[in-house]
Amino acid sequence: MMFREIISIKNPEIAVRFFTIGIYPGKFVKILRKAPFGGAYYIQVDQSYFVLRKSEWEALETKIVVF
Amino acid sequence: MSKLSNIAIVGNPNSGKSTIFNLLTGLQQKVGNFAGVTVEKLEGIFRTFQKDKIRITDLPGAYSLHTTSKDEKILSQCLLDTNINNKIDGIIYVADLRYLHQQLLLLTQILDLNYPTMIVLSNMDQVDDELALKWQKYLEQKTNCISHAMSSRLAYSVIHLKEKLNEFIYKDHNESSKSKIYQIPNEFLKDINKLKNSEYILSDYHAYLKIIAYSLEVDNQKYQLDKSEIIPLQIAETMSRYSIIENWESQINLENKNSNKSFTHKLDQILTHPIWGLGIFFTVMFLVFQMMYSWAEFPMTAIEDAFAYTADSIKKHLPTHWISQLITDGLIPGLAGVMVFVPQIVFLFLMLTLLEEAGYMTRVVYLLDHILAKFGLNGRSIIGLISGAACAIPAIMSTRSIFNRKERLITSFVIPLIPCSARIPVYTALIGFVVPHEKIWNIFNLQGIVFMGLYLLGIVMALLIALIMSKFLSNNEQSFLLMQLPNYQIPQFKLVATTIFNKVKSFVIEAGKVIIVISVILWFLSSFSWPGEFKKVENDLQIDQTYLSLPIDEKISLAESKKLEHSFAGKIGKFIEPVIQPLGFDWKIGIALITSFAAREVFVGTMSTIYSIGDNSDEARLREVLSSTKRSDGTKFFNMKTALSLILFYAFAMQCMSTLAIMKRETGGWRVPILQFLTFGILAYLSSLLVYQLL
Repeated sequence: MMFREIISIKNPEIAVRFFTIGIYPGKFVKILRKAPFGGAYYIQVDQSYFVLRKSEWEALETKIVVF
Repeated sequence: MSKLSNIAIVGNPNSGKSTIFNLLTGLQQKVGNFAGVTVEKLEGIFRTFQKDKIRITDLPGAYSLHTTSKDEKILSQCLLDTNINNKIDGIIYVADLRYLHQQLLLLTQILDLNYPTMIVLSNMDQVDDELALKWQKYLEQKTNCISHAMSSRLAYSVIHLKEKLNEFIYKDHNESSKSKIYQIPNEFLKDINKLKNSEYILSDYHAYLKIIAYSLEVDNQKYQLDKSEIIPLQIAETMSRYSIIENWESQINLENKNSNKSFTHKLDQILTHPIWGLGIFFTVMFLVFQMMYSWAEFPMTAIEDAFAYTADSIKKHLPTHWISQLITDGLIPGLAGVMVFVPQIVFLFLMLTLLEEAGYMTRVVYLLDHILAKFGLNGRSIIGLISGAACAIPAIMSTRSIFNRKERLITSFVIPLIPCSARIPVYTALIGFVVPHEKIWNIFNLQGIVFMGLYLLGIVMALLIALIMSKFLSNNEQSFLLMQLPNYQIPQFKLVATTIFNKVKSFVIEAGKVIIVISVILWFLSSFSWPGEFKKVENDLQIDQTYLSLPIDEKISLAESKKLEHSFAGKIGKFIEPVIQPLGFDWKIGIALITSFAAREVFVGTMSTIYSIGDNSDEARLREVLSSTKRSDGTKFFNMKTALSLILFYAFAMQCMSTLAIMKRETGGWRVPILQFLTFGILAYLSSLLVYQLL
């Protein structure tokens, strides 16, 4: 299984939002699918599912981890 | 003995908070607003076993006390402000056992504030019993708070909840001072102690949050923290709290096995599929509207008939006096105008609430967010836009779930352009003039296609106006989509029923009071005139040979039509005739345009009276009479041009006073509703003018 590990979150204002919802450095994330026409992303973090905009995803700095 | 008297329910947005609130308060709820913002404030009463009445407030859901959006700040404002009247003296914290990791974050903050707190762990039936009970025991030991793991689906579990709440209310809270969870940075201790001397402060953390909040105030002199300094502090605090929560979790050391995650995962592979997902959404919506119209038809006719029957029987039994007329021609039709929409609203919200509770609507928000964002809207706008097809009033109220103020304003502004059910009788009466009742290729009903086209026109115009507004409005608030997707679940009947009941109640009250007042005013305008005028009309009729030769039924109808012509309403109709003449309308339509301010469907009734059709009016009979009306030059008055122009006018014009009143309440002033009235009025006038003059 290939996941990405969050290293940091670039934009501080979005970071607060990510943190409070339980997404923060050290968590493993994976994009499961994307909405049509360049739309939102459907991601998995630990055992939960989240949706976010492309711009929000791009605020996450991640590295690839293979289990 | 001291007891708690004002308890707030706090929790994350999808924690099952509202379910707990409904269980504790039943239908004894009051919807209000938090001062200055349009976030719903729900209040209810819980009766203890000692028969004390305890006020329970459902505070807006939030993930943390460090919030980004203005509306989410209400939670921290309510909890930090200890100087107001009716201040909160206890908290029920609701956390969903399935998502404890995120949901414990806010709990640790609440505990540090030092309010008497009771912890409710919801959705116990969705996880292992052992896991739930272990958490309940662990949190009770760790925090010294009464804790209760429960499932609202199980009756005994609800009884236990009430027992524990009872215990919580009468417990002595002074003894149980709790240990702090988060260690506040040392450099703040001096300021905290200073603040403690000047204000009523519950705990160090309370003071710490106040210092941060004061720093963000514009003209603050005391605390010089900058936003760029505060955010790292908030992040550090959040991280430290999560590491404490992770420590708790490692001590519980149990994985949740009993989960419908794989079911959710499988279902989402289809429902949120990039191609099938959208197709399924449109199919679902098509079915929802099909069901709404077909199921609502019978109760709507029944309600109309019941009101007509009541008015008739009252007319027979009461003496002919203006008060009886006020009741039968003013109040009862006004009330009927409100009640007739209840079936459609019930069915539409039944289906939307079922979809929402099952977890489907958040998927729709995900699918459509990007497309709607292009028009300055938000994925969540879709719920308001769909509801708008039944009635704009509950639809506008549903936009409260949109966090971003600009997106919420735009959504509620354009909702009245979505064809609501009050326009359907108007379209039905007029559409026959535009296209014949024919089928193309023997399959498609031509009128049905035009009907669809009118819906499409409304949607396109709503998006267009949204796009223009988004270019002109400035946005100083970040817009987010980021949210957790709940697992799919079977909706709870009781919760769905309460939601629909409250929606219908607020519609009947909000729309009802406006429609009834307007109906009475319109009744006055169309039943009265300057003294002596009606007498003159009657005298004129008595010497009119054609009138005298008519059978009695037609005599009454003609007399009523003549009266309406000379009433105040008729005078207003004639007064505005020069303005609406370029659109192809005469004073008779002018009267109908004015009476439509009560509600658009009044058009059919008014036109029937003016054209002296009599009481047994319906769209078909009206169409028949209209098609035989001629202009002074002998051409047909109601041709395709006039009808199309009138349809377009009804499609765009902001004729519903109740909607304007709701907009005033939601935006806190007359500015937006007036702008809405003018924009849609000009749009309606220009498109009607264009069609009538160019065709």
